[in-house]
Amino acid sequence: MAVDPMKTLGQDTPRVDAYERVTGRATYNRDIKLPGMLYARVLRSTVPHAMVRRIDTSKAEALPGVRAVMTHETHKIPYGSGSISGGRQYSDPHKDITTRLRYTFNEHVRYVGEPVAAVAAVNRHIAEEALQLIEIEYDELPFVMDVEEAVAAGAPEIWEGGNIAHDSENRQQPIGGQTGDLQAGFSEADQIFEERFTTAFIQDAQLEPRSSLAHWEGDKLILHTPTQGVSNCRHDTARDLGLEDHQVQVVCKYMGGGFGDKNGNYYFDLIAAAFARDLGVPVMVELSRKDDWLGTHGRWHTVQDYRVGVKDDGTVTAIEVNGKSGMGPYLRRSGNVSGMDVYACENTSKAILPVHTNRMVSGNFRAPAYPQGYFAISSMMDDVAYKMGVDPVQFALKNMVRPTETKQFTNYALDQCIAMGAEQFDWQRRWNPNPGSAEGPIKRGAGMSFMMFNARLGASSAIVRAASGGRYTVYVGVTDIGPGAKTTMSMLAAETLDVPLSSVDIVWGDSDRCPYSVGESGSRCTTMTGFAVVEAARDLKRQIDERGLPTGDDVLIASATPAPSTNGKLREGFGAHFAEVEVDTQLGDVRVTKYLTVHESGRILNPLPALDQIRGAVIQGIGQALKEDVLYDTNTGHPLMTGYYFARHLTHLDVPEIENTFIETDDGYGPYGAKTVGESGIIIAPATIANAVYNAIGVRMKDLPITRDKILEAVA
Amino acid sequence: MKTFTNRNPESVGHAVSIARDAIGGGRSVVFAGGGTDLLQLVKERIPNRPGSGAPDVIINLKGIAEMNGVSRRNDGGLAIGGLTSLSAVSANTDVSARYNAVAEAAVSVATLQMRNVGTIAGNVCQRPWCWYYRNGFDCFKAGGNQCYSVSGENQLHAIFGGGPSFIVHPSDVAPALVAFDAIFRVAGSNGERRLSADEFFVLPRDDARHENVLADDEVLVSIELPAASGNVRSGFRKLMDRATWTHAVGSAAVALDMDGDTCRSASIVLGGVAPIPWRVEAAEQMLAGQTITAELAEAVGRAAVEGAQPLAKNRYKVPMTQRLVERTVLAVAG
Amino acid sequence: MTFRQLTVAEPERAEPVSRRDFLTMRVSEGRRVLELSCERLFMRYHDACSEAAQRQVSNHEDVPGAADVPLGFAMPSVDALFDELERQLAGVEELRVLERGWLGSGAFARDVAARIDAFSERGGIVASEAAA
Repeated sequence: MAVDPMKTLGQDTPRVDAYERVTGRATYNRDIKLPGMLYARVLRSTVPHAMVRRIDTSKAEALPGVRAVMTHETHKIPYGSGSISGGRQYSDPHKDITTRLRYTFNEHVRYVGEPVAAVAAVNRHIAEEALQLIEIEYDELPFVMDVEEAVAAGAPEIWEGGNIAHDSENRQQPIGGQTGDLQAGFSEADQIFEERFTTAFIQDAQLEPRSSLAHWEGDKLILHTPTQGVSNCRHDTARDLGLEDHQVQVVCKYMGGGFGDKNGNYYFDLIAAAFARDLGVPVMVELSRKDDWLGTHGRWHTVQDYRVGVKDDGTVTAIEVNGKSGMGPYLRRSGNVSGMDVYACENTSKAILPVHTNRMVSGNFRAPAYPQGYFAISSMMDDVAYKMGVDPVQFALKNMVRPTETKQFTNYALDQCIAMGAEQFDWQRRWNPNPGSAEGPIKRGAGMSFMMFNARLGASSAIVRAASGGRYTVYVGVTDIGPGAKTTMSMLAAETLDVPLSSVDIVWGDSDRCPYSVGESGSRCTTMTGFAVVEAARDLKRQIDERGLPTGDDVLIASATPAPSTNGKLREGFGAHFAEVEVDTQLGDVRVTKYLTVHESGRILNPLPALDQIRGAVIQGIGQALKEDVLYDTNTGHPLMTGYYFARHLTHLDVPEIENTFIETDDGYGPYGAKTVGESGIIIAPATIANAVYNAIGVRMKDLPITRDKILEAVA
Repeated sequence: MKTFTNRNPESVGHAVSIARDAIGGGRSVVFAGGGTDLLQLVKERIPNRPGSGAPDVIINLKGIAEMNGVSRRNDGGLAIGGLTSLSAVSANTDVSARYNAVAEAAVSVATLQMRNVGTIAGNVCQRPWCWYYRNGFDCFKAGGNQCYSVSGENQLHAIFGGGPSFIVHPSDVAPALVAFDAIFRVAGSNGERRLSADEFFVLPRDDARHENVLADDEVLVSIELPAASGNVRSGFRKLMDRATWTHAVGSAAVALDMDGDTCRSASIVLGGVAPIPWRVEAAEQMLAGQTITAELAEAVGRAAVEGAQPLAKNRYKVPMTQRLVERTVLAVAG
Repeated sequence: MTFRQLTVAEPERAEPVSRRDFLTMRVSEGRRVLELSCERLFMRYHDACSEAAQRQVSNHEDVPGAADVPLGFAMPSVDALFDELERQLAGVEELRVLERGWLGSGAFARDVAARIDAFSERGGIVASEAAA
């Protein structure tokens, strides 16, 4: 199913806004200056769990240059409109039923870093100075930082009714379910293995710290904020403020990364809106780097207990996982754990409890439920393979999901990814059949893992317009968080219209000037919005064929809101990763010496950023495997790893060249057969590294991150 | 950021008199070299001088020409001005020829951009990188009365010389300087003093709030390196939790005075494992008069960690430090 | 929804002007004037027409292993959109039509033209401007 070459698509194409970005001309949110604008800062709770007994803002208000101070006493604005149920922030019915409401400022504070007040002033320094003058007294409450302790009898109640998060019907039920017959699967097994794995909370750590600039024209709110979805942010904000969607205009022209952290709206958007409305001038709320660490979300940490049944021939007959995800005190997203689907085993049970603690809030981070889940299940299966005396690659090929009558794929390439990766990596030579047996203190090992990730289709909109002189304009609600969506959308239009890319302009990132877009989350931008661009461009081309190119002031306009489907087939992208590591068993250093990936992501529309996406995601995944964490002081409930320094994010010097091959296919769905790339690369990187570390030292590392202290204790 | 007054003195004497006058007037003072770390503390409102809060006056030393640069001394040693950038230290051929460990230590600090701006005196005098102190806890180092790491997260804390504070000294260049018996030249209102490492650095048992004896109005003007013979081989090895831009989980500066294959005398000073640069004399003495073999190096490593007192979560640092010393000794011996 | 005012002094403000995103109202030469951005109206019209707009929630999160959030958005219907336009037109004497190219020649153009014609018949002044 190799793809045919095309004129524009498939050609390495630099970003259409590359020049603006690298020359500093691109206007990021904090670059925007409006006449008379004020600057605001947020004061945060210094205690993990308390009721605010008294809050005195008089000294702050008296500071020259301060225009207003806001607290839970002055403003009670619902935030996330009840996203606290089910983690479905965009789902209005769930917002309607929630019984656990969250506000921009809560009298009941539930984590260190929770907003307790905000100050608007004539400049950011005065605003920050004024924060120091706000006096707060807390009635402190007992707190809980650990997911197991949070659900134990007698744990401090962060919410009335206990610390298990509510699902979309306000029930305290685990996420998951059963397939097949689990008990029969275990009965059939010759051996049963059990292990516990844990993963740490890590911050999305996007480069651009958050800011939000609001101003009002009458009863219309104009909000400049870095967001991954102008339409989603508009809807959330309108709902929180009691407005209609069209009374909110969300604008985001350039942003410095998101990774899932910038989806939907945030409390600071609402603070900016409220200040701007009260004061009648534009107000920009700014977060410092530390604010960004404390006051935005990160990846949920997990505890996962696996039980796996295997026959002597290496066939997995049953998989059971029970787990808990730490969501912080507010449910922003689901807390799910994924990865079981990549195995063929039909007898499965999954039960994941999302649990509230007094840690910072958890939410989406690049493939939200995946790297944690895949680390655990892939480590588990790797361990089973060794215990059964089977080469992990052979074990993968034996137990990986395959198309069946009831499980049909639009196309299937998992076997190909694994086989090609093993060959390119030279698995047989690099892999050590006797883990940990290498001579000397520095031990080398190889590991692998494999994945699939939904490349689903769905509704989105695009408009393409032709004007005289052969100029075409694409209108799409993308904001370009990094994967190059503006460029991809322009390329799709150019290809479909059969015109040069240079004749296509793009209007983006403005909810008033673009039609609805799903936004850039869930790796859906190319498959959904991109598909709409193709449909609209096809329509425009028909119009041009019928009526000719417009002249003078005339224009031709085509729009599309397709809602394509795969008719019940699974549409998945596939991948396999292979890594070689060197572990210094005396000093505890882990060096990644080789990293090779094979991905099937359908047709690759723009190879240049597609490769960058895989590489960037792998780097994040290696960081999650070996370094990143947000440790807390459990005595005080304070986080200790705030910022890039303490959280140990990787530098370029920490990673080897990451080699990637795309197996290109066109399954006949999506825009010219394109699937997803953005999240795919991170999913199995932690698992691959962990499996390589096992192969090197012969001790299974079950807790992420695999830091020096853990390595040295394991080999001691 | 708290509003402060910036002063730009042109001489050490002027800098010291500004400090004296400001302190006399009840204002808190801090000296700024490169400022790469200092300004961060100021912005985060973490006390640079314990208990003093954000400074009222920042005395910017960058205009003091006499504090910048490396010069040869009459006794054959070197004087490194406190304002000399870490990049300049590592690039100086007099330093790298005779005091290689100092050059290697300087180049291991942070990132190139920070080494271009950050100074050697600033590196020696920077405040600890304990995650409690840096996250605003009111610990000893901020002027408080406890060390939160004792019953908390102490993975990166001291295994030697701790108590009541368990911070580790953050400087990379300090262990290398101490390995060469550097002298720290300090100027203040009460005149100038020249201090050995033993006199300059202080253990928490003597003063839990400070890492050295500098008074609020004192400046580290320069660091003097005594003459070193051409037979001295030295090196610095730093373990980090990533490849760059972080402090040492453990480091070792080793200087060996060699006579052919025989080691006449040795200096071994550890960083990242104690509240001050930590000299391991018992280990040093094992090398004197010996030919350095793998077996001897291993024994030296073991001797280096004798008496280590790890906390609950940093036991790993003991075998790590042992092997670090062993390997650095072997590497320097060639 | 609660949206309480600040406790600090409220700045002096004129009577709130009720405007909508595709309309900019201003007073010009003694007349009340509405500026109608056909581009913005088109975007709202497009969203209002789209099938997905009428669905509050899709089931995307219920797909096994789905990574993210469901999609779904609520927009006023096409009728509501034009009701609002008519309300706005009732309060002004002049209408300035901007970015007329966005009207095209389909149903959207007919729907908008009907309102403009009605406005004109009532004695309203209609002016067109080149795209802003």
